[in-house]
Amino acid sequence: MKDRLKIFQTDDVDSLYSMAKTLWEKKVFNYYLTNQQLLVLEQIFKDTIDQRELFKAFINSKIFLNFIEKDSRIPNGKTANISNNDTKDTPSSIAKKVDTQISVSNDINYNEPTINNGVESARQLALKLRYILWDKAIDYYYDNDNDENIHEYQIFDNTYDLKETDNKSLEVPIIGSKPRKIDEDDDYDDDEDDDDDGQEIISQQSTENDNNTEHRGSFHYDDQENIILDVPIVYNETDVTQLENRLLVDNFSKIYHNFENDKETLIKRQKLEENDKLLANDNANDNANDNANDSRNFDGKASNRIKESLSMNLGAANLSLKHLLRSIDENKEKLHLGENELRQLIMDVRKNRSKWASDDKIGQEELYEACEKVVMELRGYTEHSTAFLNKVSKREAPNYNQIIKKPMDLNTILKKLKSFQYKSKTEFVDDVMLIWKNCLTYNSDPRHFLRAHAIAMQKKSLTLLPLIPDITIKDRSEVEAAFKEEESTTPAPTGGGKSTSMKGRKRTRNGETIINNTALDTNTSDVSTPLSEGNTGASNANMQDGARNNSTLYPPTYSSTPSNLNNTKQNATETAELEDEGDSNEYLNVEDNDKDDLEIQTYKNLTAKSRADFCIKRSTLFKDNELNPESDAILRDSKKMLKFENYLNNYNKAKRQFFNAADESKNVDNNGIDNGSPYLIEYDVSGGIPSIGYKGKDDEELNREEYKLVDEVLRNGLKPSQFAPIDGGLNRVINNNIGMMQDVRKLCFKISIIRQMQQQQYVHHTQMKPPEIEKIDDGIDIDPVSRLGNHDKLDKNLIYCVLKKRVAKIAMQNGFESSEPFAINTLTQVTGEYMNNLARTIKTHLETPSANREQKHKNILRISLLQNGIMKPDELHSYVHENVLRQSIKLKDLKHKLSNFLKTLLRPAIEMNEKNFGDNSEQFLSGDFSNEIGDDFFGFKELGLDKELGILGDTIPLHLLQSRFSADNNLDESKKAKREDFENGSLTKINEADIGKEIGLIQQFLKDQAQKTKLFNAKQLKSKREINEYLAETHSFAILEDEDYPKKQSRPKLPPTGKITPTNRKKITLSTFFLPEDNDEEANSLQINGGGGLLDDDDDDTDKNKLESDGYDYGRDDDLFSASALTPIVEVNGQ
Amino acid sequence: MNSDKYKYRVEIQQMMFVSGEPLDPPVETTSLIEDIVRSQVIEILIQSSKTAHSRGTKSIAPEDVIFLIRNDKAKVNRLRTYLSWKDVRKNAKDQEAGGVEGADLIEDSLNTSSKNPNDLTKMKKSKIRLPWELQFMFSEQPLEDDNEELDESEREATVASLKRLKAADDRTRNMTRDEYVHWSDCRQASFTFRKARRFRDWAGFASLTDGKPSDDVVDILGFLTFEIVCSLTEEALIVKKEEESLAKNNKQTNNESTLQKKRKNLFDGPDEASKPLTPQQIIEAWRRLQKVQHKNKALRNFGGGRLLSQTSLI
Repeated sequence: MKDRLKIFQTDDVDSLYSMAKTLWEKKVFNYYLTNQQLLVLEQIFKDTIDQRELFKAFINSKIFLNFIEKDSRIPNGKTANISNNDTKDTPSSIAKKVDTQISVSNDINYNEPTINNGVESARQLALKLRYILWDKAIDYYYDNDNDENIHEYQIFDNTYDLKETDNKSLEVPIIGSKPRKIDEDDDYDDDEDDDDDGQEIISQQSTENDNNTEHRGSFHYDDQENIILDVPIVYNETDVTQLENRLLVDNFSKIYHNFENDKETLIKRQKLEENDKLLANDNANDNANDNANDSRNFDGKASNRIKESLSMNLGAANLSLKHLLRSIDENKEKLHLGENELRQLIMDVRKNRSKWASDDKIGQEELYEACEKVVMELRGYTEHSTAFLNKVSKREAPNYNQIIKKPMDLNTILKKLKSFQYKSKTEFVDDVMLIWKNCLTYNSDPRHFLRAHAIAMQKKSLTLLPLIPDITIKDRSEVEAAFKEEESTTPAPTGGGKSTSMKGRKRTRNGETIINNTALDTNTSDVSTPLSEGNTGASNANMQDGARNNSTLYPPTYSSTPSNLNNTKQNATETAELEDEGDSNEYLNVEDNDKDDLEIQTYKNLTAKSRADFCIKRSTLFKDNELNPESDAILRDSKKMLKFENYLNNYNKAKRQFFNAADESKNVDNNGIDNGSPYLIEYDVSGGIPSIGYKGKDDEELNREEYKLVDEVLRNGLKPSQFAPIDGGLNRVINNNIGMMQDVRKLCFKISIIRQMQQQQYVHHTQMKPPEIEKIDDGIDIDPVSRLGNHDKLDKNLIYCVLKKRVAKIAMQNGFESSEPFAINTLTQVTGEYMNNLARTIKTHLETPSANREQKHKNILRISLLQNGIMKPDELHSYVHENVLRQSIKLKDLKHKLSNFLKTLLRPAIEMNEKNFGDNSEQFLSGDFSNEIGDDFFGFKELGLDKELGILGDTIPLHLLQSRFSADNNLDESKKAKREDFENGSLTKINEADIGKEIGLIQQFLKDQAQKTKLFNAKQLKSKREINEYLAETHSFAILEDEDYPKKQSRPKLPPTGKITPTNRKKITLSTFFLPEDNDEEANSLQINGGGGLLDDDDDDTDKNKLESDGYDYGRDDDLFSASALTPIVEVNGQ
Repeated sequence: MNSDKYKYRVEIQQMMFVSGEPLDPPVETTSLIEDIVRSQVIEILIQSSKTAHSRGTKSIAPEDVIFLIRNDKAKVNRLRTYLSWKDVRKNAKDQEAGGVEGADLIEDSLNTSSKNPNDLTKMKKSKIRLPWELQFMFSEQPLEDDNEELDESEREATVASLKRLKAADDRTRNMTRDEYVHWSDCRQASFTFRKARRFRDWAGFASLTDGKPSDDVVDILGFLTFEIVCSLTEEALIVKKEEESLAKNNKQTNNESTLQKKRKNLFDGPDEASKPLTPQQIIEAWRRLQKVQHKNKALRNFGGGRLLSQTSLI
């Protein structure tokens, strides 16, 4: 196949020509070349006789292009010329005249030539042509799958056949093939002629014939032997209209577009956005007013709602429903709906009333909606619109105001729209066109860059403006008046009359008018009825409107005059034609704007928005000329990748179909076009990344795996994870210790309660509540799901939680009943840090490059421990020993002691039932045993006590026990009646005489006692004589008990200082006085005792043998009953 | 000035003698030690008043001071022993004072104590309960206190004290009777005994603490200062030994031949006149004692930054 490229290597003009010819007939060039360029080619191929020569000259750049500015006479509304040119399109020209007079009148010569006369431009064009040919050939040759490109094949087959024949039979003159080809060409020409557009060209050709006839057959040659080719410049609707936009889009991919235009696009976009913001601010200001209006119009709205919905028309909708309408149009055959039904449906689909809706102004909604859309579209045309968004400032152009009398810009138009300043389409269109006109007027230099923009915008607006329904806003009252007059005759051509749908209307013009007619009929009939009903509301609203807009006069109703069927018919055709024109304008627009390349220009226009978006997205990746770490990562997106793949797949197909474009353009589905914007492969960074070999696991697969694991677990039973605490070893000891601590706490609580009860009369039951102590539950493991094999065992959170639990336990073991989460978190973090340090130290030592590397692991461990504060491993052992093992011993001991203590505190109560419960005194106290016996042993729940007391357990609340304690104590004492009973019992006193009857052992004691009693009694007597008598006589008397004697005062002690405290002295002075008899008595007793005063008084009470001394004692006690402190002095005195 | 500032020269000398320094150290050394001791006392006071404040009281209780040395269990135990003996001594004194009259209660206790002095020790010892002991974890304590079991910590303490006794024994082995008497006299040396007021002034109690610390605190400080001087001296002696051995090694390598030539004569002086401890050695000992322990900086091992450390108490 490669030898076929020889055409290009050998520069075989003939084959090139035939190829070009074929392509030309296939209208391939329309996709590549601008209008003007096409004209040149047309001129070449049109020349039926000298075609070949011309082409040869052209391809070898031997042509001098001479453009004849035929159209220079046309502008400024010379409709005659237009009609001359567009001989066939009379309706459209009429439409132009009638409908868009302004656009035509403003039609300044914007089609400035992009190709200059001369050889250079011809050369460029030739180059371009060669490129296209080459491009097509490459497409063909390097297409991998050739299965379906039969059509394509044929094209080249022609040439190759030809070429082969050339090669094979050299003797065959070239001329021999020539006529054949010409014949073919002629056939093609005929085909072309059959085409509508071809006719057009022919007609143009005919108009030019006068100019060009002499060139035929013999060419003009300039001094450099270049053929002079005169090309008339005609502004016509070329066949480009038939081109599918998307086919152009397909061609984007053939060129790798670099990003050099991006910055510009981006800036323009941003400007537009800023502008939008400004407008939004204005809107906010306007909103207040709008709201007021709304509320005012509310009544009217409600009453006229039906009417409003019926008088809707598709004219305004066709902008918003553009795509829908087009697709409906394309598939019309498949639909089994009548046009009427379809229409109804579309009406339903239509959006609800817009903000422009007003009940008093007929047609306002439709007009304004369309106008707004147009303005927005123009604004969005950033390629050119940037300069016209805002007013020209004085700084930019100081003398602007002098030249331009009535400045205008897009934002001003928007504002005017918002303040309802337009009353008809004409006014609006005037304003729009004024913008471009101003620009062109001010920038009179034809090279000025703004001119190009202005012209482009002008064209754009010309394409858009016809879409606006030609509505003049009318006051409802006037319309009604008109209705009353015309009610029976014809429908009022309100907004509804100008209904247009985008495409296909041309085909069904007749049907259309009928539909319109019927639609209008229903319209008017429907309208009329509610009108009468809602008259009052409408008039109300009218009055209000009048008040609001009293400054603005309502224009006279434009189409209130009766219109007939012809009128409507004409309207329909007009709009249809207009559309055609609009479409073509769009393309003119595109084509004329590019200086040299249609493709790039189209590309720029179509992709401006998406490219700007891409740029904005891309710009977030950078910050201050550096990569922005904060930005989102570029991720592979399955959707994007699919798009990319589709794109690649479609590329080949598209290429093949390209040659069938004319026939099968409809089959080429939106290749690369998605949601209206073409697919931009250059900007799709992530889409083209090939997929990774590892498929990854999707959720489903993961779930399946997990289910499998779960099943296995269910079969084999759940195994405890490695994080589960082990029962045994140190853990068990620690748990034990904690349990014991809790027991001790319970004991402490009981003790403190009993102490309180001893001190206070009543103890509130809230104080009685035992502390709720939860047994430490060591069975808790991590959740079963996390235990599955596919879950990360070293998950940071998991480990943290486990460690936290351990730390909390250690805190508990060290005496904290409970701990704040914050504290435990801190501790856990410290622990984690420490462990981390330890691990790092070990790692450092293991990986050290120094000689220490040879160390044994044991030594490494030891040194790591040392560096982390553990001087030697023994310390760990001693820690465990000291803090854990010994703790349990101590706790056991403490618990034992405390329970003993509690027992002693509770002794009286416990003794009673000791037999029943043995050592388990606590059990009895707390009622713990009821837990073992069964539910509600005490019947608390039955009594409802549990609720009343707020206790949950089965233990007896302590304050219930309290009363029992005291009762039990009393009972206890009366029953047992131990010591006190005996003491209370009356004992008969023993008389001296009866001593002999007592037990012999006690007789001596009793005798002593009797003697003592005798002496005591004698002492009571006054005189010595009496005493003696008494001692001699009395024999029968009761022996006194020890208690019966007056108390003997023990010898006072001196404080260690040996000083007598003043308080004592005071007492003495207050309560002592000496009676003379006392002195006597003292003396007597001294005599009796014989200096026994110095006897040791330590053993006074028990020693009954020393009666004399006793006597002395007693006497002295009597004397100094209260003045004990002075006795030493008295003694001294006495001696 | 000098005489004003340094008041404990004699005591320090005695303490150093007890801990193995046979010679009278120069004034510079004792002054340096005195300074160190004072700074340590001040440190103790500051830190313990901090704990006292966090407890909510102004005046320093004995527990606050003991808390500072709680990690040195042997020392705590020795301190406890010391305090209990101090109690005994005090009680005995009381008994002496009131013995003429013969107070009943005291006599009772005295009788028992005279019978079994060990029991008394224990009983007294148990009086000093440290708030971080296990039983204070709980709100109630058992009334009767008869902890018969020998504490593990005490066992450790006894091991330590046995070591100390052995060291003391070694020191006194070769002493004559008079020397031993002197030595045991020196053991009585204290910064505080019978000179509590001087001690307070010297350490600047008034400016450091709010309330007036109890006698117990002063006694504890007396004990601790003794310990400080002892450990300083011991460490300094080690330093000195190392220095000497180093010097000897150097000498040997330098002039081996001259040494060999030298012959010992009967009337030669002692081989190397042993020198008393120099301030440099004390400083080195101080430095060694102040070295930050590994466990105090373990958490900062990989963290970097400056290690903040307090003066550690000897």
